[in-house]
Amino acid sequence: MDEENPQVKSLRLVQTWMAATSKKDQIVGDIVTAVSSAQFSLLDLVKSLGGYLTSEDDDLRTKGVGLLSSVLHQGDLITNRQTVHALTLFYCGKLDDTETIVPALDGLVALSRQPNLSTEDAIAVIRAIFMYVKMKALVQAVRYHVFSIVDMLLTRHRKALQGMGAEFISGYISLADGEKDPRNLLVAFAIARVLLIEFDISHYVENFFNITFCYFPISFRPPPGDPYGITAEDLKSRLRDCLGAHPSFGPLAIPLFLEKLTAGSPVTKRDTLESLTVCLPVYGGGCILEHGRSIWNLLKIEVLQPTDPSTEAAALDAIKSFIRVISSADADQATPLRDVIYGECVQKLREPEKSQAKASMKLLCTMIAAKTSSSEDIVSKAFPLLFKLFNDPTETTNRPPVILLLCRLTHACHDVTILLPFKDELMGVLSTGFESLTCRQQTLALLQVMLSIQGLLTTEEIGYFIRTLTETFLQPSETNDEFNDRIVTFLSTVNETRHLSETTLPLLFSALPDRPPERDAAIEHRLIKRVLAALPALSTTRENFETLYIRLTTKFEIVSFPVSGNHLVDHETSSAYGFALLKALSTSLEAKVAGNHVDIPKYEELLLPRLYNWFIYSAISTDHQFLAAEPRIVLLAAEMVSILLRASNPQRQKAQIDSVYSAFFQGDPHAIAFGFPRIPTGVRFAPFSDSASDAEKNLVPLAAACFYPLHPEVQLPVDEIHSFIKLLLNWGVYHAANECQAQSAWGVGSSIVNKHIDDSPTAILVELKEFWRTNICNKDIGYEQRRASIRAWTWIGKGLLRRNHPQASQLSAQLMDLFEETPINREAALAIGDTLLTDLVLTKSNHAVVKMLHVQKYVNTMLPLMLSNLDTSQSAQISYLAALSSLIQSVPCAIYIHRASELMPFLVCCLGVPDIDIRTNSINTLSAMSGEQVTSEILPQHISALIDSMLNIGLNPLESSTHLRIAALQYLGLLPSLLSYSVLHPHKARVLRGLAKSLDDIKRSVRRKGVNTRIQWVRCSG
Amino acid sequence: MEVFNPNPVIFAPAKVASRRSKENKPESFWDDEDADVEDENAVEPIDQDEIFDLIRHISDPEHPNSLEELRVVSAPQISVSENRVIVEFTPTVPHCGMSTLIGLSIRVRLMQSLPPRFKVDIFVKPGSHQSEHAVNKQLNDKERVAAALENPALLDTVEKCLEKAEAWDA
Repeated sequence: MDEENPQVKSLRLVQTWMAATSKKDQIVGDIVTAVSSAQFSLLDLVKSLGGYLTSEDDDLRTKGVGLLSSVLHQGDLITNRQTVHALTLFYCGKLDDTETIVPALDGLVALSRQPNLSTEDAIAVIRAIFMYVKMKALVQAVRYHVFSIVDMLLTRHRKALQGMGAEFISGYISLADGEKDPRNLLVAFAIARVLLIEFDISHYVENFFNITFCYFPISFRPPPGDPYGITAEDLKSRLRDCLGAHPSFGPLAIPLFLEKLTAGSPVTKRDTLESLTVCLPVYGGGCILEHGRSIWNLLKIEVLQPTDPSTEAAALDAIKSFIRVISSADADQATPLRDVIYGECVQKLREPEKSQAKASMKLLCTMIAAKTSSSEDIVSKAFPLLFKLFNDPTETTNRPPVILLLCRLTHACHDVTILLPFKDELMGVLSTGFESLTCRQQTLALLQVMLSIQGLLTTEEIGYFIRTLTETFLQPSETNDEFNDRIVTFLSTVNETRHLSETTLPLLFSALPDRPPERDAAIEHRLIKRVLAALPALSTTRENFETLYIRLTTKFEIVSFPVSGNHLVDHETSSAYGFALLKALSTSLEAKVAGNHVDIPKYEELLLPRLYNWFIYSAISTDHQFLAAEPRIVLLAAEMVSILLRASNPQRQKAQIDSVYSAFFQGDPHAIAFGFPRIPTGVRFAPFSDSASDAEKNLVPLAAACFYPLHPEVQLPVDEIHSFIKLLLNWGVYHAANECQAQSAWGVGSSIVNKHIDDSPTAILVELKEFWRTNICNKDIGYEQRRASIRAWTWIGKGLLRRNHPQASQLSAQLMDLFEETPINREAALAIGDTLLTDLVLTKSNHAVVKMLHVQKYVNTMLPLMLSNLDTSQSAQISYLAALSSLIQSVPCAIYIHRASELMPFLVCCLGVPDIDIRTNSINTLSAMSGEQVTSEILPQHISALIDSMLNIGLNPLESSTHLRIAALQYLGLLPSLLSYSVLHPHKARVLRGLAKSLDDIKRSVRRKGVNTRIQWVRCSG
Repeated sequence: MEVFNPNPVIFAPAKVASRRSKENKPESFWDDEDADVEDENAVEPIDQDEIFDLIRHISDPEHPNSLEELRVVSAPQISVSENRVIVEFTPTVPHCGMSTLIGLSIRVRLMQSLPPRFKVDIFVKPGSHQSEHAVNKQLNDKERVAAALENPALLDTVEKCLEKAEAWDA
């Protein structure tokens, strides 16, 4: 690097800068680098600038000072005291000059940050600013500099400025007066707060009041896209810091606040209330008391007649602050006001049913929450009044609201020492309240509040109320379901397990009779249902569940296998009662499995043999067949088997499935069944044989339930998987007595294919091909059996589909061969979508193999296939429409939305097909698509046809179902929110006329939807 | 704005309107209530409860409560016959200046929600309002109702009262 003379170099750079028209910043950068690497000093720079700084030419002078300031700014240069002093003096001098004031202030901003700025210099800067700067003549950015300088000096030289006394205060006040820009105000408010708190402003209170309160309330709304990002909230909170910064503001501020509170908009009101909350404690009791009545009157109205919840909350906060202030004030002055306030609130409680009683209680609770010495005063006034109202015989109708008020008051106190004097009377309210039908719910709420207060009630007292509630719950005539539910929730959450197991549970169990109630005994039915619904919620602990298990299974045996008088019993009621008992047990088990309880294996071991025993015994016996004959109870038992086995491990599952297989397929019921009543040895049990009785066949779901949850690694006890699958499929088609039995068999087949296809893929596929040929394509067998075969086919497809097996879509595509053959084509078409439907067999919890994205893959294969065939094949068009509608209605619309424009015409076609299922599918799809962006682009092309079809479906009760009409009306109601009015306008009159007819539909639910849809259309306008 | 009744009695609303027909169903332990196959052709006529459902959630112009909570309307005060609906309502105080507005809101709601074959009559409960006759006349005179609804400010207030009712089960 050439060793240039420092002076020469700086002069060269200065001259380049002066001459430059672009890249000036870069030159400033070069100067800064030169100064900071000591190639020349700041003073060299000043010398080089010399001529410009004092030039007669205004423009040159401005430029000169400007360059110096830019260097100071960019450089962040640390310089010594002398240089800073010299520069300060120089700049202060330049403030006098209108041409240089702007760059000079800029330079001073940089200097004010200098650590080497001396106190004297700081004072000199302030004095110069006060003397020369006329804020009103400057633009915002420059005024911002002034505030920044003051702010900086205030931070670094506070002592010195305090020493300036009145000179500084009055100088600043005239600087800040009249500022309007929010960016500057943020700084100005911060400065004002410091001055108010740390400076002696006693002679300038009014001036400060004027330069701060003139901004209240802040109504600033940031312009759209504001780059500064200042919000009204920022300004409000900074201003609020000032308003509450000095106690002397009180006498001036309170009238202003009160005026804003009466006249303001809700936003102003809230702002004022929030400011009051902050300011009242600062202003202090003396000044507040002077305006006490007016403050109270305006605050309370915001609670007694609230405009909106947030204003009400703000008012309550302000009241809390207000009460704290007057409580700490001089007692002689504050007492009369306090008495008035409490008196007024307590007075309103005398009419507990009115809306203001509740509001007054809110006020009282807020005052209690203020935690002043007067809380006890309030409590001692309010409690006796409420007790008096409660006990007044002429006021019995008002007891419910009185209890609610007591509830709130107790909750607000939340302190044993305050409440203890009233405990006896509160207990009295509880006892009386539970006796009265109308007060029970409120009483329970009160009890809950009292329980939540530590140490208020003793264990014995809690026990007493638990017994009372249990007895109330068991009142046969009690019909208030909501209250009963609350009792159960209460009992299940109350932390008193001893009372629960010693009092409640025995009472509940003893309410369950040994014989089913008569069919028309509605009250007994309801009571038993109630008890059985409550038991699972109350038996969550290990001990309680054990009791529940023993009690319910025993009861089930007594009901299902009565020792005597069996012929007298109405079997349907017996099995219904048995169902209810098992249902309670199954609900409990489910909760236990969900909670991963450790004792589940124990119940698997205990319960499964008994379950199988009951039903197998029933199926083979002559006089107890009603149990096995009732599919609903068999299915419930099957579900319990699945619940237990899902939680089981592969080893235990293996043992269970071996036993179940021996029992159901090898004629050895004793392999799985054990318990009461004893199954005789040598008895014949073969549900899958040709000669099986209906009762035996009915137990197939019990076998299936054991297969469903098997882990894939559990080896099946069968010799050949493919022959077993064949057996299951054919049994479902030819031997099953009803759909439920068939579905069970096919479900097992599907589950096995899903988990074990890889064990012998070829054999299984050959078996499937054979099934296709001999069943589905076989026109020699009955139509019903072919339909059943398609359903079986769908089940197998499901199993493969879940594991993303390529054969899944093959199986479905094969169904298209049937599309031209009526009437079987309808079943085949709908089966393509049904394959996707979720079921309770092939689930993760049943350890089925479920691969990611299997739905997408299937739809991506099937959809193009169908769309291409829809265009070409005329004869099978209806089948393809049906298949398409059923396929896409069962998948999330993200999968097909990219083809929306292709699909839309077909969906509209589907609406015209006179088939309820196809129409419903199509409407479901259209609704699902309605949320997507593309839809609103495509819809306008089809809008006329769509509206026609929807009106046609929605208004015609003859060719539709209630659900379909509702769906159509619902979709019509969506349109106004999807499309612009210009698209809808031509149809509006027609739609409104049509919808008027839907208001007269024969079904209530349709009319209701019609009303909603019509409102949407009435409301929509340009 | 003058508040006619600053401190009204608030009643707890009924959870759902209980329909009498449902109560006749026999009790049973089977939990197949949703499998209950509805008869597609059974006619469900428009009844008292259905009309009550339409108007119970209309907001009071003065309070943040519904007409049901203030017991301004109730199911027994509604009667339905072949092509005629009579709705009676009870102002909370006899000097309530909002009665006409409440009546108008009920009328607009029913105009939009009932088939046109119905003639709707709306009355204040006899003896519950000091200018009962005038209010009734205003509410049941077609021309006057139409004229009132031409007034944009009034229409706006009516629509505000109806907002909650319309949003209730949409």
